[in-house]
Amino acid sequence: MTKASKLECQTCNSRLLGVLCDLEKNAVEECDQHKTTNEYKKGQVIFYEGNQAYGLYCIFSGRVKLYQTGVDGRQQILRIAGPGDLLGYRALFSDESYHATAETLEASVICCVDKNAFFPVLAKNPKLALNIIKKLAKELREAEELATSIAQRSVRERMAELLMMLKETYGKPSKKGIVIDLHLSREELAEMIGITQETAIRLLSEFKKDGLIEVHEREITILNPKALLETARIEA
Amino acid sequence: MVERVLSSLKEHWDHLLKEGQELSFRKGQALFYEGHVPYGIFVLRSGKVQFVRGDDSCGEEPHLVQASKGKIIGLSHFFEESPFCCTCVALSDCKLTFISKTQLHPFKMASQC
Repeated sequence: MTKASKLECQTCNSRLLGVLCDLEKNAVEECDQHKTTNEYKKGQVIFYEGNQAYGLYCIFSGRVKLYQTGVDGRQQILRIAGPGDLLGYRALFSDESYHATAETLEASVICCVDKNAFFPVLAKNPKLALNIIKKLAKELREAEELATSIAQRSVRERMAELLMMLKETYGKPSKKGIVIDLHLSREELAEMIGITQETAIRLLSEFKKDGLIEVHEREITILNPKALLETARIEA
Repeated sequence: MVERVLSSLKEHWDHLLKEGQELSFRKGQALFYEGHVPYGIFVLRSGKVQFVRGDDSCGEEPHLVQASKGKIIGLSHFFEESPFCCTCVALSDCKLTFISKTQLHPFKMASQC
């Protein structure tokens, strides 16, 4: 028995960060009985685009990227999920296959609740249904914003916008500025905004030269958030 | 214990297969990873999978075993609540029936009595 398999939904702090936060005690126990917890190594795939869904995944720790693969084999990262986030619920609810592949960006502990157990819980918990609707609405807005951004904004603006978004979500104060506590490769940064790896490298080096950021291998520190915001041409 | 479970499952097997979920995996995709606790069991309907044990990068020799049509995958690990000893990868495009933890729960309870 692994250490991860002893995790209980009742005492899980990550659960309180996501849509399962309002679950009533008996529903939490129901989920706990039918869940399985596993530790994924960095780079392992939780589910694949095009495959059928058999459970609902909930991240306890670690980070996961969700991406689609284009006809040319290029990946488009749709979002990055962290503790408390659910994975695979759209496929589960729409009874369709997964629209994206989920792959760990770092070692992660992830629980899977059997869909045969989750649907009755959902049916009995309107608060949970409402939280999921809110989450879906937020994701839809983000997807629409990304589509608009790719269609209308320059690559420089998109990279600045991405760094600001990463700063808001993963930023931690450091001596020099705000360090992004998510170590993505240049390729992954490119895949998040639909540009090539070469363009991502060029843009980062331009931002570095302009004093907006500092880059040390995969660690990016935002030195001048105000100037980066102006480059992104978005409102604070 | 697995023998006891098998005899109990036998009379319900057709029903479980009917209630199970059809899954497909493409060549090269992992069904599960070594060290993971099973979510349920798989029955291979078509295609081939391979079980890979160990990790080249750790200096261990990969241990390959192939399984084809009709093979039940993960049964003993599921009922013994032990982590998978191998990673299972689709060697070709595969179709499987997945029988979930919830569906198997009554049999697990019975086997522990």
